[in-house]
Amino acid sequence: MKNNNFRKTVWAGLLVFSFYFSPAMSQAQGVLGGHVTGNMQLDMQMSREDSTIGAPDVPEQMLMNARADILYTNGAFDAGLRFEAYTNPLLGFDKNYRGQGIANYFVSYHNDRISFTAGYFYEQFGNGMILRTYEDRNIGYDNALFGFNVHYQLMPGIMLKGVIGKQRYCWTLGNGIVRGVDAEVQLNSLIPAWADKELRVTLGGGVVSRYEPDTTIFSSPGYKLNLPLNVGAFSTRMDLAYRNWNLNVEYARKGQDPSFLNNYIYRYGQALTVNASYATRGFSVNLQAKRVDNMVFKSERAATDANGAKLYINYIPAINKEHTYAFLSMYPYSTQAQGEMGLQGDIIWRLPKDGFLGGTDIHLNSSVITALDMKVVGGMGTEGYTSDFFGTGDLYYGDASLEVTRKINSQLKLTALYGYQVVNPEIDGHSGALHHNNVVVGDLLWKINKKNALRFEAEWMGSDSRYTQEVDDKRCGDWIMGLVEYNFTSRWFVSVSDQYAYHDGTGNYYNISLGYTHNATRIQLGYGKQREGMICIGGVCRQMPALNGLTLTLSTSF
Amino acid sequence: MKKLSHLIFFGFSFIFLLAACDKIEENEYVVFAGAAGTWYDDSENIDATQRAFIEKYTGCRCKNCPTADSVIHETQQHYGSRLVAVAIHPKGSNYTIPYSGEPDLGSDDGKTWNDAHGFNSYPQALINRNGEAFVPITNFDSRVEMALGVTPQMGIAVSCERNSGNDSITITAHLSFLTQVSADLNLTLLISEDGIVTTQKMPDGSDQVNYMQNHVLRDVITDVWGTPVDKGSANGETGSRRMAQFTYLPDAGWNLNQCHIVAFVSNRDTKEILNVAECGIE
Amino acid sequence: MKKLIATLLLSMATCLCVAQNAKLPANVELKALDGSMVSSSTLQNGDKPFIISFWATWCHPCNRELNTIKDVYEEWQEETGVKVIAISIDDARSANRVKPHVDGHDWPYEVYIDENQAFKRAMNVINVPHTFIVNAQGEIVWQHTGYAPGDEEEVIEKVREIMGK
Repeated sequence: MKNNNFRKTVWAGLLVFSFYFSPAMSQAQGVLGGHVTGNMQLDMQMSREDSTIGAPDVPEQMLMNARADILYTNGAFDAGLRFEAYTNPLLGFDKNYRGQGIANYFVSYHNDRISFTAGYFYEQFGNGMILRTYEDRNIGYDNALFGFNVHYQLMPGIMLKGVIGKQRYCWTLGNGIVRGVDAEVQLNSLIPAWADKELRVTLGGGVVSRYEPDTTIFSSPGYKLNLPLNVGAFSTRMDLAYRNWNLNVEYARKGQDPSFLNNYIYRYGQALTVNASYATRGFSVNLQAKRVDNMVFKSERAATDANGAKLYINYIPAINKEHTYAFLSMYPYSTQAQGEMGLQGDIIWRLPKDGFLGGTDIHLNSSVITALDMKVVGGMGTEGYTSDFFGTGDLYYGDASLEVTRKINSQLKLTALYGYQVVNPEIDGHSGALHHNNVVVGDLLWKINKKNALRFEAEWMGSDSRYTQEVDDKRCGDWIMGLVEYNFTSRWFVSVSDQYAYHDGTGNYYNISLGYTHNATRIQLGYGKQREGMICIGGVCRQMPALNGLTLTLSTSF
Repeated sequence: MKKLSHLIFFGFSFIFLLAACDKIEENEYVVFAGAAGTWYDDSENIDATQRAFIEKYTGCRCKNCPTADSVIHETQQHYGSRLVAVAIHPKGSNYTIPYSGEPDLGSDDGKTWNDAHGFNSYPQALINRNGEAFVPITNFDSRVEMALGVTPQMGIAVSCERNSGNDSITITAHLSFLTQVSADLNLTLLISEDGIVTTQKMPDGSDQVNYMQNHVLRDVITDVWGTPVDKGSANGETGSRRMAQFTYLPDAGWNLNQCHIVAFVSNRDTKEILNVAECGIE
Repeated sequence: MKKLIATLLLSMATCLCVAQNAKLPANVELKALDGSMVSSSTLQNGDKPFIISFWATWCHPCNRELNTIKDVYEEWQEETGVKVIAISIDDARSANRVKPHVDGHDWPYEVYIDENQAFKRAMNVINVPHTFIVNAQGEIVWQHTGYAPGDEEEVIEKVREIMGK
């Protein structure tokens, strides 16, 4: 056994070595023709225990995530291989990733009308409300399907897709078999007379079904749940574009799917999203509405999210804007796929060049997300609850922000932002009253010359939340932050920042990082403290523990 | 025309998948799972022998199954009560369709197990559900030897009495924690019957009438995957003992004198069996 | 099995003869802003090179890069005929904001949405922004990750170089 592991490690090492250090690898052609491309990333972390911020002790001293992707293309054939090593996984990553090996491989064939993939693949039907497999290395999420995937263009304007397989979870596959088909019709391509119409119409629909063998789940001693082995879901969607107007609607429904995350209730699931926008040069408005009800759809009914999101078949993203300034994203909103309603609006406006404050970019955004109006009718083994379609429950999240960007002259560019946020701390497992936060950001870019630039960022957050030992939410309190970033010779950058909870909070988080970028290679070294908290990308969130130490990232594409 | 046929094919797969969605009626969300038993602390000393549970998947129309029967029979002669065998005739397989006018040995519980293991050819066997399925004809001894060679984590004993006044039986299972087991455990009870005579397809392709079917799984008394082991206040620490009592009403068509009760304890998640015991009905 | 595949790939990769630039992946479906699907094989700029820039609505450096290029885009086009194709990797969460974002900022680029990041994977993009230059033959001749102010100068320099100016 030991010997075998050792062989694996050596083998893996050789693989990475040959990929990374063989200079001829980059953009090269083999005797058989075709091309090899790829990318590689190494993340290392050294953290030491720090009780003031809650950074854990790391017995390994050093943690590492590494990954290398190799793609081979030859005419109509593609093949890919991915090596992953987590020795051991970085803090916050699912512990079940521990180990190394080939995590993904596939071969595919395509011509003008059909493409066929065998192995691990990523697929999405419509907006992903019934099926989306994808990976995001930054949060360690990969729910790739392992099986077969077909795309078939029946005729211009009609695209059919089919999938079958099991989903990846770390180094194993989920119990359930996932099968699905999807059709998308573009009327403008299908009907010759519509080819030049200003109205563009796309219709689509898909069905996904999961089979999982029976398991015993006791509802009380001697009684168990009569589980549906096949759980189906379907969705229909419509995309309309007319001149400056756009409308996108998708409705999905899921059959009885008692699961750990819905407390084994038999209620059906449904979700609706509506997106409408008006966009013209220099001005646009976008409105979005969403209602999600019992839409957790996984390929294992007993799967928990205890170590991070696991085996989701579908994708229900959060509706609010993904903020990137530190304080506005301190409380990221994570979708409550179990049930929520949301509204979101965006206005982007570039003031005409010759008028008052000409050329200024203005971006207004607001969202509000609430719980469903639920009437509980029972627990495990019942319908669970009923819900009024238009009723709303407790507030989960609300925000509004105004961002103004203006080029002062050819060297200076200023961004100013004001944001207001109401956060229900219960959405990510904390407790207490609603937090009300005011955030102000100033971001000044000074382009000194062609190859050198300085960027200053200052942020302030005033909050009515108070840090208490009982709740131990280290985000509470009033904060200030400063950041200076210097880019020089267009290849190097150095940045220094500090976040400090100056009132009713706890923590002082300083960071220094140094980076070098040349073409598609990037090296970054960071030292400092990182606050514990949630990072969310799209619909998936990961709890990040506090960190005090050194991080090194090395990545390259070739 | 070709495109039309493709479209029809696609339409069918669409409808097929739509149909692949089980609908369960509201009054059937919760069903009887089988006897759950009543649990007590126990003081009885039980022996700590490691035994092996061999489940053989078979059928009266499977021509290689008699060979497996004789191999298992011989091995049992050698190991005696340390080897507990059950013959499972999964319902719904072509190999278990009864010959006309003969009793149906097919079992729904057996089918559930069969489907979980993914068998569709026979004979197949598992020892202690250790994850490794095999054809029980070659290398059988060494597998049994290996299963019996492990240090037992749990001692188990089972006894069974007929109740006076009605046709029910009372089954008592005793568990002794020889080492601390932290995993969640299930206890499974089943009833098997010996000496059932049916026609059997033989290796030479002939049909032998009057073939003796032994250890035939009649019913899983608990839920098919077992009932949770109540570890009590000691929570399964080394040296603790628990017992569970079950009342069960056997089918009137079975010959109780030829029946056995089998009890085994398994890991709830991996389903691997820790130990097993068997008794007749007194 | 896994090892076999790996060994095969590795041996293909290691017996190299002529170094040559990789072609743009041909069979990836991208979503145009009117909702229609186009194949990545249709990305081209006649007999001129073009720039592919991967970005996202929520990515500050990406927006900085594309806003900066916008200011010089007319000059670039007059001088070299180069075209910028902006590939948004926004997923279902923000894909519906891409068109308003592009129009609201008055970007003159050809924009596609790579909603499930198939093109991003095929192009070995790790993080956005990531910029490529593709020549008239559809070969990837240069790539760069990240954006620092001034990087756009390097991009146009490379374009000039490729065009032999």
